[in-house]
Amino acid sequence: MSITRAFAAGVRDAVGSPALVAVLWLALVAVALPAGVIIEQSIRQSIGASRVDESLLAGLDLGWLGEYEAAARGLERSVSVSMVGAGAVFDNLEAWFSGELFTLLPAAAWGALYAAVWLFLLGGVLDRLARRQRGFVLAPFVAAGARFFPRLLRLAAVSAVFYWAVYRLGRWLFPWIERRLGEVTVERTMLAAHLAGAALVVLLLAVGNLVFIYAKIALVCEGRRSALVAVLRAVRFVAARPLRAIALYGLLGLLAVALVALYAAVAPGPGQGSWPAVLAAFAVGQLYLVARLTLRLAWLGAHVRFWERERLSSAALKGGGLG
Amino acid sequence: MVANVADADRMRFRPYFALLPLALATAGAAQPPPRSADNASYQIEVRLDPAARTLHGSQILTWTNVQQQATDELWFHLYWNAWRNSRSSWMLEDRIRGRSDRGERIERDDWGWIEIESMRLVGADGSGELARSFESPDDGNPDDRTVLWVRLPAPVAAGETVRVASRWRARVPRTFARTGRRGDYYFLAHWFPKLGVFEPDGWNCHQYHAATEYYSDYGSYDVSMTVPEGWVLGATGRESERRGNGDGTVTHRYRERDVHAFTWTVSPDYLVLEERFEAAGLPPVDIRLLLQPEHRGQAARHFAATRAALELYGRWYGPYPYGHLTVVDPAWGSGAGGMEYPTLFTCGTRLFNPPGGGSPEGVTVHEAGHQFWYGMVGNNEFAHAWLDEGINTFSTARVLLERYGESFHVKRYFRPPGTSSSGFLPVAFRQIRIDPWIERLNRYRADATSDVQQDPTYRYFPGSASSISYSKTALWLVTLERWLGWDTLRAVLSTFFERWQYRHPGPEDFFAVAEEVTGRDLDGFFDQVYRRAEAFDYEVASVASMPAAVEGWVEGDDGLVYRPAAAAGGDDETAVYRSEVVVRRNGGATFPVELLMVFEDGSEVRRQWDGRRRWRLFVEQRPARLAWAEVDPERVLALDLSPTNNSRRREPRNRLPAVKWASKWLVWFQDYLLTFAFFV
Repeated sequence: MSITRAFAAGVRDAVGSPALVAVLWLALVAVALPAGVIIEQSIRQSIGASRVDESLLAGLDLGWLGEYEAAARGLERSVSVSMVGAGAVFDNLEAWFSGELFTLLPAAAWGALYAAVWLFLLGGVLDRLARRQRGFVLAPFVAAGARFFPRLLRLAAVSAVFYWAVYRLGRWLFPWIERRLGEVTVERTMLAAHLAGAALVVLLLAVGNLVFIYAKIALVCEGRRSALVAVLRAVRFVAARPLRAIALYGLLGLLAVALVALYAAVAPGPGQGSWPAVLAAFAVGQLYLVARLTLRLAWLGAHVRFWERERLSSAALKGGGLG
Repeated sequence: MVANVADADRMRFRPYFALLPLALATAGAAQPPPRSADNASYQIEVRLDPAARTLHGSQILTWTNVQQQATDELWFHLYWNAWRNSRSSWMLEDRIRGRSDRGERIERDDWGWIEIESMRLVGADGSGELARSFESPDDGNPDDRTVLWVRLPAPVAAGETVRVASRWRARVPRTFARTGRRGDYYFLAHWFPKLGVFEPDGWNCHQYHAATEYYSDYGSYDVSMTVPEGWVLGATGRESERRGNGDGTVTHRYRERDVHAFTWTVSPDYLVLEERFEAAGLPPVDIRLLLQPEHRGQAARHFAATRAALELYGRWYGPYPYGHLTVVDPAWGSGAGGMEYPTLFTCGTRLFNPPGGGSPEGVTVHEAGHQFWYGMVGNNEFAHAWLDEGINTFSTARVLLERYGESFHVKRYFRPPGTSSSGFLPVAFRQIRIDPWIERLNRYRADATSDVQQDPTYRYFPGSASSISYSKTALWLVTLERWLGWDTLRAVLSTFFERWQYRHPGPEDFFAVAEEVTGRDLDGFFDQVYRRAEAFDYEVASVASMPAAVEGWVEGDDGLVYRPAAAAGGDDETAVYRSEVVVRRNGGATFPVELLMVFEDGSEVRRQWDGRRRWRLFVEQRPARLAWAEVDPERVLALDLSPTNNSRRREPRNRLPAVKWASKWLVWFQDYLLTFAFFV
């Protein structure tokens, strides 16, 4: 199967599943909203009856923010200047690249909770994609989620070891680059070296992610129970067609970059001063998140299609059933 | 303890000593009289050996005792010995402040030092090596070798002059405290044995500390630097001579008068760009910009910022008289950026730096401004760093606001994990404008009570010293500006500048000028900000507004009468309301403040309070309810740590802004959760 057909099929699957996207979005909101309420109350308490409300509606009052940050505890410590506009997305991209996503413990704990929820949903999503179901029915979706959750959890544990190793490598690699280039006096050279290092880290993360996507597909679509066997099958699958597998992943990656670029261009700034404006800005953010979830769905769909077609082709070549 | 005298390489210095009589003769040519006491002058010959990363130097110090009492000793700074080992006071303090100035592991090859090979009196018959030993006057640290005590064979009486010849060698460190090398880039500051300052109560020669800078007498410098041919050199002063030595080296001779230090830099990579600063009523200045080639596109921004500083400082305080200024854009990773030296300073920029984001303009204006506050007004930075750093930080912000307006927030992304590098790729948040005073307040808040500013700077806690020296002073100066007016404060600063240029003022000198110029007793203010380490925080603790004739028992003709609410005025148009505002002083420091009460009919009342008691009740009776109250509504007291609690509405309106900012945070958080899900 050509990667463009897999790509198109994945996008079609995702765009044609608004109910599923809605479920994924609602799950995201359900996990995040309690934290949002905590932050809202904390901000409201910080503002109190002060007239700083005016400057916070006109824009971001850095004086207030400085006071808030000085008193911040727990999750409040994640409130920062760069939550404005596309900064929120850039911050997370940076944290993803550097591994600092896990350093703010209260947020990371919430992240772990959402990861568990996502694992549960993933079973249903992959099952649905494998069965090529058009409509969305909650009961079988939940049942599949429950059925595949334990094995996906085991796979997550395996993948956690891999990602940890990649980040450890990054923690060693960049200081090593700086030591090796300790006499370099040109920032451009240092930037190029760090970009090369970053490319390696991102490549490892992406290749690992690619393998683990196919491992998840093997767990759900083939009904495998062993996470390690699923990983091995995924490795063999990717190794048999590395260029096409990576090209498909890269194509989807480009779509992700385009999405981030689009959001960066339209992300609302700090200036909303009325309920309609605040809600509209929030809606733009939610649209971005829905688009990101849709992309995630397309990502999975494209890989499921690619996996199935390639397995079928292999089987046809062998003249037998699925291997 | 007598200093080690290393005999190695002694012979190779004789030719340099031989040149000194010529230098002396040239220096003695007819010139206008010095502006300063000109009592600590140096003639130095130094050769850089890039292969060995060493300096070999010889110097003659000419020192005149300008005090009334005699002395039979000299005290020298040997700054580079701060990086001789891990146990110097500088290194120990650097560890206390929770960061390594270097930001990375220190290797064996990174250390630097300076060793005196010989020190003798010039022209004294029979005088041999001067007795000397390392001293640690500040902390008694036996491992610190940054101060050298020297015994003279005879006292130097008031007005007498001695000349001391010394030979020394130094190892150039990998940069510490903005001094050192990286690759072929060398930035060499505080690099030679430098005399302390003889004061009425003796020698002032502190050890080198992590959180403090320098203090020296003014004098004339005549320095010849031998470096590899083809390398670009910049230094304090103007180049008066350049000669090839026929051995692949070139000797550059620079001279300057009325300065208290000499700094130089050399690199094969510098681009040299020159412009002339000219402004009506101010002397012209030749600006020489030594720029990293990759920053060529930012040359105009460096020149513009330097010109802005020369012009506005010149108009506000007094002209820059040297006629030339060298601006150094340090090499990537050299750690030499953002530092001032006489007639030369380092700024610092990045490959990508969006215009309007405040860099490199901020650092350029600040370091150019130090030519006035530090360069020309030479306070003791060991003891009173706040004097130059604080006044200059305040002035920098004013220049930037006047010339550039508020900058916008820039966040740098792509910060390599595990390193101390800041991000390579800036993202501009153009809608988030930065008020420099708020930015200072945010930096100062956590350290507000950490040290009394009056204490010697070198005794400040190293981790918060800069907050006290830079931010606190800038904040109390802008408080004075808002309180007294800019014209008055400018008059204070320009008088202080005029009176104390080329001299060594102390804090009390500044306070005396301030009181003299303003005609006010400012002792109470300076007491609060300078002699105490208390926080400023005024708060409107409560507001209330109720019908003046409240329901309850009142005195009637026949004694107590119960007056129901309906008869007490109610809410009709003729009602009178009693509005009460409680203002609290939460911090220990006091300042006279104003209270603004705004009523629902738009009327306003302003009340003054000396701000001394812990709280005060303000009561107003008017035909309208109070809408809100605000203490210090004009934000005169820029040191107030919590401006948010300065105001209070009768009816809070915090829901919409809280939802607004929580919803933005929520989008970030949802995106964070999705990013987290990448891993499963």
